[in-house]
Amino acid sequence: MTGMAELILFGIKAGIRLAQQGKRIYIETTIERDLTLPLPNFDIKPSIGTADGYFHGAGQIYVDENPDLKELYDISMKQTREMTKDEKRRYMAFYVDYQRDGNIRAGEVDGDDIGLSKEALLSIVSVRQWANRKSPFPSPFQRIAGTLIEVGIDYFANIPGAVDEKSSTGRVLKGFLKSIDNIDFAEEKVDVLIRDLFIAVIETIGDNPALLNADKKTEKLVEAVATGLIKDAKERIEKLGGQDLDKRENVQDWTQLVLRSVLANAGEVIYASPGFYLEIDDPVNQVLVGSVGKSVLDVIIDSDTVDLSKLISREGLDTIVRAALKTVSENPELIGIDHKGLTNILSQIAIELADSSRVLGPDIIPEVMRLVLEKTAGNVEFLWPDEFRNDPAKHLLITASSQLLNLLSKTPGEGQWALRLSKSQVVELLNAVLDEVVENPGWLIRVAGKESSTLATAIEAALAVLRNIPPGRISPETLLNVIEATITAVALRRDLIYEIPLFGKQQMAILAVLEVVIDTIMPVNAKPDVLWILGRTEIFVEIVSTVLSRISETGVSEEILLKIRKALNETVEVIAAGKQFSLEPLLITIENISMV
Amino acid sequence: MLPAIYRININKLIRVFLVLALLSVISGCVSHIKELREAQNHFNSAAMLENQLKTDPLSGDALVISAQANASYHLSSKILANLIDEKEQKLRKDNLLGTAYTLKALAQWRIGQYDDAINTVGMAKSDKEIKLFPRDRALMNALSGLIKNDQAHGHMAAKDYDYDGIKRLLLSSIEDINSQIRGTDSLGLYLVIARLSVLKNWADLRGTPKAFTKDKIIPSDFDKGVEIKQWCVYAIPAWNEFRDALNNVQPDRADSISGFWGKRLGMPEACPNN
Repeated sequence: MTGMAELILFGIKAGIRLAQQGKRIYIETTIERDLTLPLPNFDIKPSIGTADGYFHGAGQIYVDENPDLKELYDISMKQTREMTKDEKRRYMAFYVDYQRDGNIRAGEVDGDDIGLSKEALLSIVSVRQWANRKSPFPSPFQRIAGTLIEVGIDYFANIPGAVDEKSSTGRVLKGFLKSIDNIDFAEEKVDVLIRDLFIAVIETIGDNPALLNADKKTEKLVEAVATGLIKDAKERIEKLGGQDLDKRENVQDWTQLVLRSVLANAGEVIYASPGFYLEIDDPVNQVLVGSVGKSVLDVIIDSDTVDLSKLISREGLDTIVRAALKTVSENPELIGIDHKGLTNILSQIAIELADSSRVLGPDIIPEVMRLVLEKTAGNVEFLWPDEFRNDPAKHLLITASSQLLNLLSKTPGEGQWALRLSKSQVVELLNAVLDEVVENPGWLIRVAGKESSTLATAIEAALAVLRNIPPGRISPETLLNVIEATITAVALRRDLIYEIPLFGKQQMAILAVLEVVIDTIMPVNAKPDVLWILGRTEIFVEIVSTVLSRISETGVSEEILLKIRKALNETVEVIAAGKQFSLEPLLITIENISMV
Repeated sequence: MLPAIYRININKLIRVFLVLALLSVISGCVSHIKELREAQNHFNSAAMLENQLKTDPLSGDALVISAQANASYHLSSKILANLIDEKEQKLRKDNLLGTAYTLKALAQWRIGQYDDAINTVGMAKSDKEIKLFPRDRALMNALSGLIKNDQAHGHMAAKDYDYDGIKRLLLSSIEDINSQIRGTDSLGLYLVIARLSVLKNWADLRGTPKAFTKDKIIPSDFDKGVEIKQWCVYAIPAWNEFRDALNNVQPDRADSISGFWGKRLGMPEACPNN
C-alpha cells in the first residue's frame, strides 16, 4: 500500500518537474520567437539614378524612339547641367510609364505600385531563430507530454504497490518500465516509440500464456530485452536527425515488432533453457539477452542487399527470434565480444540468399536463418571456428545453404524445366543437407580439379539428369527425394562424384548411374503404361533410392551399370507386355547386384 | 486510520502544497524572461511601424508613426539595458543573454546609437560563454553592414559627406552583408533585401552626383555610364540571389516583393546582361 508521505513527496516531485518543463518551454519559445526586423534606411521612391539605370540598360530602346526622353536622358547622364524640377518630374514619369509598359509586355500583371502588401512585407521582415523544422528544441507539447510520461513511469516504477508486483502483468510491466526509466522524454524525440513499445508489452502479456507465469527472472528479462532494443532504436532515430520520417517509422514499427516477438518467444525459451536465461541476474547475461533482439533488429533494418523489412512477416520474425534465443542460450559466445556475432550470421544469410530468394520466394530467408541457427547451436566451434568469427561467410552452414539454394534457384537451361519446389520442400532439403554438413564438413571441400564442392557437385549431377526428363513426368516431391537419395549415396561413398572411364568416355559415376535408371524407365519415348506405373512418385523414388543405396556399397563400374540396366529393362518389358508387376522382386534384384 | 474530516484536509493540503510549489518555481524564476519578451514586443511593434512607413508611405501619418516607432525602440533599448545590468546571470544561465544582447544592439541601431550598437555586438562576441543562436549570430555579424548603409543614407540626406565617402560606406555595407547571406537559413531573405536597400541608396547617389560634391562640381572623369556598369557588377548577383530567395515565398507575395524592388532599382532592365 502506498504511504501518504510517499504520495505527497511524489506529488511535489512531479509538480516541480512539470514546473521546470514549463520554464524550459517559456525560455525556448522566447529564444525561438519571431523577430520583426526593420529594413535598413532607403527612399521608397524610384530616383533619377533608377531611371538612369533603366534607360541605360534595356530601356535604351525607348530613349532611341522618344526625342523628349532622349533630351532628358542626355542631361541626366552627361551632367552638363542640373535638371530642373519639371525635367526631373517628366524624366521620372517616362521611367514609370515605360517600366510599367515593359512589365505588361513581359506578361507581368502590374497594378498600383506604391507599397508592399502587409503579408509580403511580413515574409521579408518576420524572421525565425531557426529555419523551418530546424529548431533543436522539442515542441512545447512534446515537453509536457514527455514529462507526464516520465511522471507516470516514475509513479509505476518507484511507488511500492502502484504495480502489483506479484502479478505476472505487474512483473513484466515493471521490467519494461525500468528499461525506460532513464529516458528523458522531454528532450529525446522517442515518445512515439516508447508508446508503441508500451502497448506492445501490454498486448504481448495478454496473448502469451508463457508470460503469465512470470516471476522476478522474467521481469529482469523484459528489462534487458527492452533496454537493448530501445537503446538501439533511439540511436537510429537520433542518427536520422529528423531528415527521414519514413525511415523513422520503419525503425519504430520494427522495434515494437521485435520486442513483441522476443517477449512472446522468451517465456518458452526461458523454461527450456534455464541454465542461461534464469541466470539473468548476471549483468553479462542481461547484456547478452538484450543483444538478441538488437541483433535481429539490426539485420532487418540495416540489410543493404535485401530489404528484409519488406520481406519478413510477423511469423518469419518469430521464426528467427525463436531460433536466435535458443541458439544464444546454448552458445552465448555466439553473440561475440562486440555483440555482433548473431547479427553477422543473419546478415550474411541475407546477403548470400539475396539472389536465390528472388526465385524461391522471400519467405525462405527466415527459415534458412532458423535452420542455420538451430544447427549451429551446440556445434558452433566446429561450424564457425573462433579464427573465422569475424567472417560469417566462413560459417559452414551458411556456405552450404548458399550453395544449395543457388543451385535450386538457377535459371533452367534451354529446353529444361523449372524446379518449382515449394518452400517446405526447399526447407526439407536444406534441413537434410545441413544435417549432412554438420555430420561431415568435408561436403564443402572443393572437388579436385573443379570449382564446386562435393555438395554442389552431387546436387548438380542429380539436377542435370532429372532435368532431362521431359516436363511434367516427375513431381517436385520426386525431385526432392532423388536429390536426398543422391546426397545420402555420396555421403556414404564420396568417389561417386569422381569421373571414371565408362563405356569409352570419362563420366561422373553417380551421373552415369542416374542416367541409366532414367533412360531405362523414363525415356523420352516411354510407353504410357510403363510411365503410369514406374513414374509414380513412390515407385520411382524407391527404385532410385535402392539403386543409389546399392552402388554406394558396390561402387560404379560398367558391369554394375549393365546389371542395373538389365534388371530395369526386364521390369519395363513386363509392364509393357501387360503382365503383372510387382516392385518387390525388382528391389531385391537391385539389392543383390554385385561385382562378380 | 484518520477520521474522514482529517483526510479531506490532508487532500486539500496536498493540493495547496502542489500549487505553491508550482507557483514558487514559476514566478520566482521567470521575471527576466518576461522582461526580455516585453522588450521583444516593443521592438517588434516598432519595427513593424517603421517598415510600414518605408514600404507604404501613404499608410498613415509619417511623423506620428515615426515617433511611435522611435519611442518603442527607446523603450526596448532601456528595458534591455536594465535587464542585462541587473539579471545578467539569470539570462546567461537560461541561454538568453545572447538574445538580449542581439536585441539591444538592434534597438541601438534603430535609434541611431551606432557606436553603442557596435560596442554591444563586441561585448557579446567577446564573451565566449554566451550562447548565440543562428539568427542572433547572423544579425550580430550583419549589423555593421546595416549600420553603414544607414550612415550613408544619413549623409545623403544631410548632404554632409562627399560622393566617394558615401559610396565607400555603401560598398562596405554590401561586403558586410554579403559575408552573412550564405551563412544563415532563416535570415537569408531579409539580408538579400537589405542588400537591395543598399543598392537603391547607391542608385540614388549616382543619379544626382552633383548634390554630393563640393560646389556641385563633379570631377571631369566622372561618367554615369561607368558608374552604372559598376553598380551592375553588384546588382546582378544581388538580383539573382533575390529571385532565388523568393522561390521560398508564397507566389503572390513573391510577385509583390519582386515588383516592388524591380521598380525601385530599375531591375532587371538596368543590367541587361543579367
